[in-house]
Amino acid sequence: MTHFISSVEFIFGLYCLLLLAVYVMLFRMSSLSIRRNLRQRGSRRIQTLLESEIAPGVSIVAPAYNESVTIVNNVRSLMTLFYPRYEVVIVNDGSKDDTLPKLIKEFDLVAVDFLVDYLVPCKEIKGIYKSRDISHKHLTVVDKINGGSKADAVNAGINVAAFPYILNTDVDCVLANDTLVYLMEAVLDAKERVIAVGATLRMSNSSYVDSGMLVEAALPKPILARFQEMEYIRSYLLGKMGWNYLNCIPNVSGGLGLFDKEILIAAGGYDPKSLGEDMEMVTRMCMKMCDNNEKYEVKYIPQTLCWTEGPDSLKMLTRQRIRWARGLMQIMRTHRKAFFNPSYKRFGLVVFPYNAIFEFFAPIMEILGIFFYIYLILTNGINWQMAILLLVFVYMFSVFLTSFSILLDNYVYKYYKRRQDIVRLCLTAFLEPFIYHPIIVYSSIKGYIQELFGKKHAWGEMKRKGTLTPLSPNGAKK
Amino acid sequence: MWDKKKRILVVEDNEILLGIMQFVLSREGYDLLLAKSGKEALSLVSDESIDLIITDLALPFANGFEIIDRIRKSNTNNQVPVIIISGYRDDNSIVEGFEVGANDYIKKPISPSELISRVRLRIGHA
Amino acid sequence: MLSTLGYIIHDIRAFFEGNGWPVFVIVALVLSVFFWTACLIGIAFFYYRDYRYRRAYSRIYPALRDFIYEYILVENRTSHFPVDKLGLDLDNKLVSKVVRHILHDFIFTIGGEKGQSMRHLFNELGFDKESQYEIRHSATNIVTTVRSLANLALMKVSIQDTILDRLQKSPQAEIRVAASKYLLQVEGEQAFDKVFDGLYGISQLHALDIFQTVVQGNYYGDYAFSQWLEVSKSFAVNSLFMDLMVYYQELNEAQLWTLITADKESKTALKAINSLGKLLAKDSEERLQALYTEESSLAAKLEILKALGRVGQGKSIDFLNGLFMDANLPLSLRKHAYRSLVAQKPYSSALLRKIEEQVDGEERKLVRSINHPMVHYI
Repeated sequence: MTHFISSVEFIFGLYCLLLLAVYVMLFRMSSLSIRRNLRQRGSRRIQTLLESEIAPGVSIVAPAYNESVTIVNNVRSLMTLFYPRYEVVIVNDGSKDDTLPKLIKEFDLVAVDFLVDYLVPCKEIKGIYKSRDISHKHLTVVDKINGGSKADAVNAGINVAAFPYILNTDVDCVLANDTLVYLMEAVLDAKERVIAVGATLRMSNSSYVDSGMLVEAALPKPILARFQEMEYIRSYLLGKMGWNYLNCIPNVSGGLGLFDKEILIAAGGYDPKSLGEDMEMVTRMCMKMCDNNEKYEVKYIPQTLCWTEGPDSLKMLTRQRIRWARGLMQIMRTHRKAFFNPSYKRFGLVVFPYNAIFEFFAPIMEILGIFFYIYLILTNGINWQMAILLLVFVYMFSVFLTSFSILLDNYVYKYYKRRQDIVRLCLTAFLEPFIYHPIIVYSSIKGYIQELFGKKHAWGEMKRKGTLTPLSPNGAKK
Repeated sequence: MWDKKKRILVVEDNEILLGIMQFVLSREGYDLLLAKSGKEALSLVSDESIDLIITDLALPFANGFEIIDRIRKSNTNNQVPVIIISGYRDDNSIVEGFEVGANDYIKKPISPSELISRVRLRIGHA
Repeated sequence: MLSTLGYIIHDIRAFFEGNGWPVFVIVALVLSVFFWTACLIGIAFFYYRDYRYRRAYSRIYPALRDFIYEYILVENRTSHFPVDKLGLDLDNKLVSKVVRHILHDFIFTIGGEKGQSMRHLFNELGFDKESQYEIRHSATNIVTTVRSLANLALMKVSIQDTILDRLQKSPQAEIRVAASKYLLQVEGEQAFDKVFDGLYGISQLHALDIFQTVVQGNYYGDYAFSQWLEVSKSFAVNSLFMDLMVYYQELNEAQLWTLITADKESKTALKAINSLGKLLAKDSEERLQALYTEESSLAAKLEILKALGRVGQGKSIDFLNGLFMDANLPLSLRKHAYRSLVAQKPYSSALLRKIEEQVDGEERKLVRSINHPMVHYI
């Protein structure tokens, strides 16, 4: 029996040590990669691309479902991004409200003859609308039959898009004016072909947004949204930027991602059946590049370019996280052949195993750990001194990591104009392990169980209710 | 009134350029209205009488193309001359600017004396 | 082998089963607390730095602005500015940084003669000496070197040949590009050979930057950019020359075809085909058509079709019509075949009329979609 216990202890100890090592590595790599980014940024003017006559074109694809209340302002805000060559493709995914009539009225749209080339699968496109206003000639509205998922709607947009790069976003995301410039700079300033780029996302919950345009960023007041903001900052600046250093980014979130259209199509487009369609897409794109024996990069930049409305109720939050957990599990299952598969190079040897061992297994290990603790307590086999010491350390380490990502965030740019916001954010780090983290672990486990027993996910319903975020900052600390 | 000063609406979100244009044009004797976003500009256009509009293209809330397009399609004051000042140097932007109904297109950086003569060409001296 | 592994595991276990764990955890805990404190200090420092910058900015900006308005815009001075009146302590790093940022904003906003005066003011404030010093002494700091080179270019101040030479050979692409841009801005056309000869290891963004510098330098001439095209060079470099060729309409079919035949599937070849089109290489019509039949990738075929639309003098009409009518081909190919037919008016006018009368079903939709005035570049 003692042998069994020490073996279990050993496994847990090893796991924690490995995890610790990963975080220490991320700590170092994220600083390096952010410094590199700022150095490159500092050695050029933002106007270079803005004033360029040969800047590559970008198609912004944004699906909308029952967004009648905000659609006009949101489209308008997408139409005023600063970039010399881009178009906006809004996909009305069979809305049941007056999303489409509103767009038609506001932008003076008419149906045009358009033969859609179905390069990636999607539900039937009923009509393509263009504006009679010359000033809106870069706007295309796609009206399609509801496909029940964001993936299907984005695919429809890809089939209509004209430019070689696709910016995938949600209509309810508020983008910074310079979004396209920053993302395209990242694409063009690389050694290898860049197949996807992402940037930091934050919560728009308490920020001052006027007519779909961000006027001033602020820390969310509701505690749940504030936890999410903190989680996003950590996940992007520490996680994504850290992996960026090794060119090992596992996911570009669905809230804001710029993709190489050719590879997107070659990989088959988004999978409407996936619950984590953004990560699944990037996974397939990476594998496609490896299959073709082509070198590639997936990149992240530390600047915040997108503000999204985070779920503000416990119910919504758990539902979102259950979906992410199920999505992750689906990916682990469908693409398991990549696991430690040398022919997928760094993707097969680093990205995928990391995701499987640390992203996917972390909540499971955590729950098992708690059970093990309880077992030890019940059998009086616990060394209390040691246990408390460990807990204090883990707690302090998590507070440190969070504070460090806040530091990195401030290094990149000072997003909060008010000083008390940053103080509050730093204090939130102390509460997170007690309040927010258990919710996330609970949701993940619930998601795994649902996925295992094949419960049908209430995808459609959830997304429809409104302004929620179908995006997943993967690499979030579990 | 025949001796009323000519009035120019300047739409620009860059403080420095806005300041320079304000300084240069008011020295020439023009009366100025300033707007920092497309929204402000559109509300000013509908409320005030204006002799000339100078606008940037990359603007928050409504870009320069849209401002011009809306003015040209409105019922009042739709003939007002418009000069675009923009950092976009590509042919598409320039062509589109004239398509929506701009009368002139100046690429940044601007020369103040050139700006004044182009303004005079449209509406004469103040 | 296995036994050594066993020993290692045994040792690790022995360590952790003994006093290892507590020691390890306490050290890690102390470190965490230490680093956490450092983070808080760091955050406070960033806030303080930002506060200081904004305070300095709000103090300096009005003074500098009024100075510029008064002497440059009103008095029309072009040099010999009474900079002492500003009372700025430019030896102070923060002040000098703020002044530099403000002046940059003005320089990039005001052009023409007044822009020249702005640059002189920049120079007279002593930024030439600062920048000269920086490029000598901070060769490892990319941001400083690049910025100083850009400043010297704005002021059109000359740099010692040896230093410039060293910068042009820097291992950092950013510095090499900055040196090239400096040369192009200061020496213009004379620098073409020197700059283009030493171009390597640059990204597409750098290429775009250099393109922009050449184009905005008001050069109008017949320099042969095509002489620098080479199969062995990277896509970014070759693509820069092709962009310049297109901008200045320098047609060199032989060089472009060398790129195409070297590696038909490469990005460089695709761009070369595209450039043939944009340069209206009339003599390449038949050769492009021949290339289409031996070409395999869809991307290359699309580029060929687009180019045929631009260069076509009627010789490829039947070929394009054949592709358009072939229902087995991917839709994108048929679409571009038809578009290129449309582009080949008047040679294709009769055929187009016939097509419009005859086609139905999907073809009809395709034709209408392409001819629709509101569907742009799709």
